[in-house]
Amino acid sequence: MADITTSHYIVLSALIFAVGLFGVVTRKNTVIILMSLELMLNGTNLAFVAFSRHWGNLQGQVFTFFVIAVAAAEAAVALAIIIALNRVRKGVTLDEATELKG
Amino acid sequence: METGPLLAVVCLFMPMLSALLIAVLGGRMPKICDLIGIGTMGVSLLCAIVLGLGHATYGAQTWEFTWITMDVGWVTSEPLSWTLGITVDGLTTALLLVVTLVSFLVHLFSKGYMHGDDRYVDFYRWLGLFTFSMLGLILSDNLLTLFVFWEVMGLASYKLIGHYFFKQSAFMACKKAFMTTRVGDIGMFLALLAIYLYTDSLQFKEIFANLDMIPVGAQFWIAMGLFMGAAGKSAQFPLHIWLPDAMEGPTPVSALIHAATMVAAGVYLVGRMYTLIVLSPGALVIISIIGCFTALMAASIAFTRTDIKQVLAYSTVSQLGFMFTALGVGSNIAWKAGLFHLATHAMFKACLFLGSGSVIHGCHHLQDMTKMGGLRKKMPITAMTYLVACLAIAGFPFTAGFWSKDMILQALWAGNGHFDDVYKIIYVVLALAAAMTAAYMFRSYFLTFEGKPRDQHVHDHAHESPWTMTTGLIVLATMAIAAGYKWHDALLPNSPGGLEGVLSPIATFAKTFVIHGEGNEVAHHAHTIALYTSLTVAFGGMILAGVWYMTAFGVGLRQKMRAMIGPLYGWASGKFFIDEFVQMVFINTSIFFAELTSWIDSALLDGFVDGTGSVTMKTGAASGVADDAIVDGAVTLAGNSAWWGGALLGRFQSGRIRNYLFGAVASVALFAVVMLYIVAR
Amino acid sequence: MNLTLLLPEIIVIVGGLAVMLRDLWLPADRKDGLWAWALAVPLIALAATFLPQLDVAARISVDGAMIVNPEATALSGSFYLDGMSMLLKRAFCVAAALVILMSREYLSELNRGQGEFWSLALFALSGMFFCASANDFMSLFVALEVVTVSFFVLVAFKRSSGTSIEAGLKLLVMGSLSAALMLYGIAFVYGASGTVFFDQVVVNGEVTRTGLRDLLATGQLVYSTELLIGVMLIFLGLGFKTSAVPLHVWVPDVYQGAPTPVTAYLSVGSKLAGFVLMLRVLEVFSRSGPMVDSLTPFLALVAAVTLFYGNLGALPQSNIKRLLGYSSIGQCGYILLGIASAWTVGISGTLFYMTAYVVTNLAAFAVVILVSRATNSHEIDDYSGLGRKNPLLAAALTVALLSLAGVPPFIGFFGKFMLIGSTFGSDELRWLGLVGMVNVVIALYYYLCVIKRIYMREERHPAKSVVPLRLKVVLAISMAALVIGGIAPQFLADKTAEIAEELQFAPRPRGGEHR
Repeated sequence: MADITTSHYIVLSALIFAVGLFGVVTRKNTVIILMSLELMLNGTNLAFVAFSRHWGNLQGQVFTFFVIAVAAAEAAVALAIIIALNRVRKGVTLDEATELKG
Repeated sequence: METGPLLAVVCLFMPMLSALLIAVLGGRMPKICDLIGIGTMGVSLLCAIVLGLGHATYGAQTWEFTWITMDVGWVTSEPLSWTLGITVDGLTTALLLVVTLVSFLVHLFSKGYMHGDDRYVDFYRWLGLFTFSMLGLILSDNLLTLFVFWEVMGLASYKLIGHYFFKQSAFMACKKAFMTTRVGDIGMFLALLAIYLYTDSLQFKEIFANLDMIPVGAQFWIAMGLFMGAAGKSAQFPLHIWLPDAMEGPTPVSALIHAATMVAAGVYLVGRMYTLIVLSPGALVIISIIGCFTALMAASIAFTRTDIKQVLAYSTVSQLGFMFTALGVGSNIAWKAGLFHLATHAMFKACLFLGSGSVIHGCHHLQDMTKMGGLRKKMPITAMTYLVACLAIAGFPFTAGFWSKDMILQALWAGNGHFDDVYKIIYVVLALAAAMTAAYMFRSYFLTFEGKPRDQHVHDHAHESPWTMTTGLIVLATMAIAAGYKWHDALLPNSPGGLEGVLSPIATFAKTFVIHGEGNEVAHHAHTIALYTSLTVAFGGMILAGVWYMTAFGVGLRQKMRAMIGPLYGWASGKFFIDEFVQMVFINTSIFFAELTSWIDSALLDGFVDGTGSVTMKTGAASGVADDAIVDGAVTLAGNSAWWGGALLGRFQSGRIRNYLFGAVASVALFAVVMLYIVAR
Repeated sequence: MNLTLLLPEIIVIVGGLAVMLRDLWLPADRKDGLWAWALAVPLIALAATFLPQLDVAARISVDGAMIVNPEATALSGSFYLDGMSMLLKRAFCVAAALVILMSREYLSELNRGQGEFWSLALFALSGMFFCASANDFMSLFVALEVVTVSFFVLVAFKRSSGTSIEAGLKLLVMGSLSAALMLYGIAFVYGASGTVFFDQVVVNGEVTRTGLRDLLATGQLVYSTELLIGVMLIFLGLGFKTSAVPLHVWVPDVYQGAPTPVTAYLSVGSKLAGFVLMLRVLEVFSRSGPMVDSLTPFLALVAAVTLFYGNLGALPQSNIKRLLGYSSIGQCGYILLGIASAWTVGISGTLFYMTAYVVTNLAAFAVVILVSRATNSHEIDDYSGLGRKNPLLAAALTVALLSLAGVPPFIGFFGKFMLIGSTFGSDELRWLGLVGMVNVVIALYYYLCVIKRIYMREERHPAKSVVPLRLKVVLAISMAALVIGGIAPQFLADKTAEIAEELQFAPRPRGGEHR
């Protein structure tokens, strides 16, 4: 079996990112969209870690920690907003929120 | 800052302060807004008087500050720097005196005249802003701020003429005034652009220092552009049509706008830019011809009006024509004559307007002279002052109007060495217009104040106006005589030595400009001829009016003469149908185009948008993808109509997050593809 | 470690925590006084920015080359204090203080969560501070997210209102998407260069850490498509904050739905944070000529599309907040003109315009708050007759809108003049200047439509607005800045020109020489 090079990791990370992007674009349910966004971030994280190994410095790894922390904060706020939306509009799909337009 | 400019700055900002104070306090204390206005204008007037008295000490001064300097790197390698400032010289001081005096008296007069008006506070606020813009226009040392004040004045006049905006006629009049002057502004704006392009500056002193950078061909067009702007503001044919309609404004406003300020702005502009305008003899003679034609035309219309303010309105148009006729000659006497007449005219015309205001006030808002008559006994002060002003405008010896009109005729006869025959013809026509002026002004005096009352009811209820109104009349009547003496030689010098400062670069560049010195034979000769002519026309006109309107057989004579000139009277009474012509040519055409575009808009575009909309909705129901693809496609098509484009963008902004997400991702991808294509190229 | 440089940041963070704690200790009936605590924080921070200890030369000359002064950096080089960050921090302080003054009335209506609101506003402020000083991609990302996440909550603060929640959700989803895209771009840049730092760190003459700026300057890092895609994604992600096309769609909806003081804060604070980072990143990549040649058409394209989108979209609007939302997109387009033509005049104009934009937009929003309190509406039609009803408010809104439209003699005019003027420096961007001019005309139309309603229409709502002292202060400060800045713009223009010089965009008279 051939060595697993950085390129392999980058392709994988791109695939994960693309899956997340696809989910964001196609899904209706807000929670699933948030999960897809997390998937995009994780794809990026993988790329950071892979590049970190490639360059032999720790900057990418550190960046990953920051990304994870920020993503957690985002998710916390997002869930709170979704719950609030559920209260006022009785639903969690994105189509509940179409009042502001034009 | 030296004393001169400091006084000028105080003088300038006082009316602005008045407008601001009234805006802030007016709502709470409507009673004191007149006092604020009168007080601040009083201070302005004082400053102007001090400036005028001390002119010999202050001399010509400018004060300027650099607005901003920045290194823009694209115009020149020099940092771009904009300098603004004010200039105080004889011309400025003369006009400052005129404007502040009339404005002060108008503020005072309005306290009586506008008493009890619903929008009393608004009136004073706009009066303040109007005066501010006029003073700013006079004091500007560059065309940029001059133009800004010029436009602000247009706005303020719009509000003042439309003071009774609930009256359809007043509403139409203020729109007409605004739009007509705007037509002239197009020419002025183009002239400004051209001046900036050629001389790299809009400051007077820079422009005059770089006059040789303007090619000969452009000189004519720049002069004409400036004159077009001036003709709009100063009501010269064919842009004079707004002025008579503007009589719909309150009478004090008419006095302010049509005697001393707005209409003076155009004359001032030509006077200030004279150094540039005299470069082109062709432009000069055109200005003179248009001025002369306007003077004659308006004078003949004035005969046919029975509304006292309409007579004064056409008289204003006519007198402004006199000023432009003079300025169109291009000599030192002509320059002085035009601006001198501007100053004297401001005095007696303001007096006449305020007098008519007093009559209208005394007769309970009656303006029709055919219903008046014999009011002299009821309103002695108004009648006396009106008579004095009439004498002045008619050119009765030793009144202010006599001196200035005399000088205009002198300048015309002396000419400038180019087109002298044309100027001789203009001289004859203008003398005729002067005779007509004397006649129609006395017609209005006789009809209003002399003879038997034609409407007993009106006569019984007529009364003299309160002191706030008559004070102004007395002061202005005094000035209508006094303005002809002494002061003008100091402020508006016409001796070669005195021309330093204002017109000094002229000698270097102008081929047309003639300086008639003290002992000049031509000027002396012209003076004698002008003197006889003006005496003849003044007395001739007055006697004619007296015969027509004060004697028994005058009525029959009038009928006979009217029959004799036949259709001419009908034309004049129809204002030569210039309004109708303008209506047909300009307004109907633009309405046609407006309706055409509106039809295209509603029939074609709306249909298209609606069609796109319904397609969008149907497809959108099936999938968000098609929705955005179509609308997005349509957006790119929508270059031709901004509004249509905006509405389509609104559709793109569907409110659905999923569409947003898709749109965002798709356009990011699109951007990436476009960019990679550009980069790879 | 030079923690003194972080003093303003520390003040704001500690202040935010203090307000939060103070809220816990205050009895419910006395919480109305909390705004004064919140207001004190940006004011103290503003005062702190004037401390002489913070006045450190941003660059020093070594062997004839101007390099980053280590004395002006902190947190091992991640934090950098130069003229631009100072100017922006002061602008942020002013913005936060004015917004806090505006928010008080709104919050007392809400009657809940005052402490959280103030402390979130302050945390957002701290995020903006770090944005202004970010000197590597990590601090860039984290600072930006501090701002964004705070705004998620602030926008959705009115939990009972469907529109507020909806606006929050839209901001959240779009914000997270753009953050992910930007992050992916950063990953590309890291992958191509092996570093996320902007500057190298030199200790005792030895390079202990490589930086992008230096790699690009020395040619060790060469231009590649991956690098370009990465940088473009970063700019697009930052464009989300600045409301640039294509990630701008949230703007009108969020502006309309969010509580008005938050909209005001969002429109200046969050936007300027995005712009300052754009400038920072652009400055780094301007070391590489080919990179600049590729970025210029990209930024120009974004600027042109943004201008048209914002100004055309604003035309049919009937809601003032939505109109200001579109107008904000348009204003972003103007600033992008200066960024696209990245040379000293453009950058100076950008900074000038950003500073002017703070007071202008906040003045407009202050009036919107006051009018909507009286009429309970944000419809532009309800502004009819405002000139007669509230002449001072009407005058303030008129001045603010005219300044936004770029009418002299207000401050906005000079900004627009410098920005559009900067595009005429190179032949290839001249078309963009023309686009800018066309858009000035379009924008003037919709601003004048509002002004026309204010003065020329009969009033629809008889209710007069009562102006509380706090908002009088806001209006007085912003009006004074607008007018004084318009009459005497030299001070600010000199300041921004000096900063633009300091930023050292690679000198390049592109496309033909300038005359």
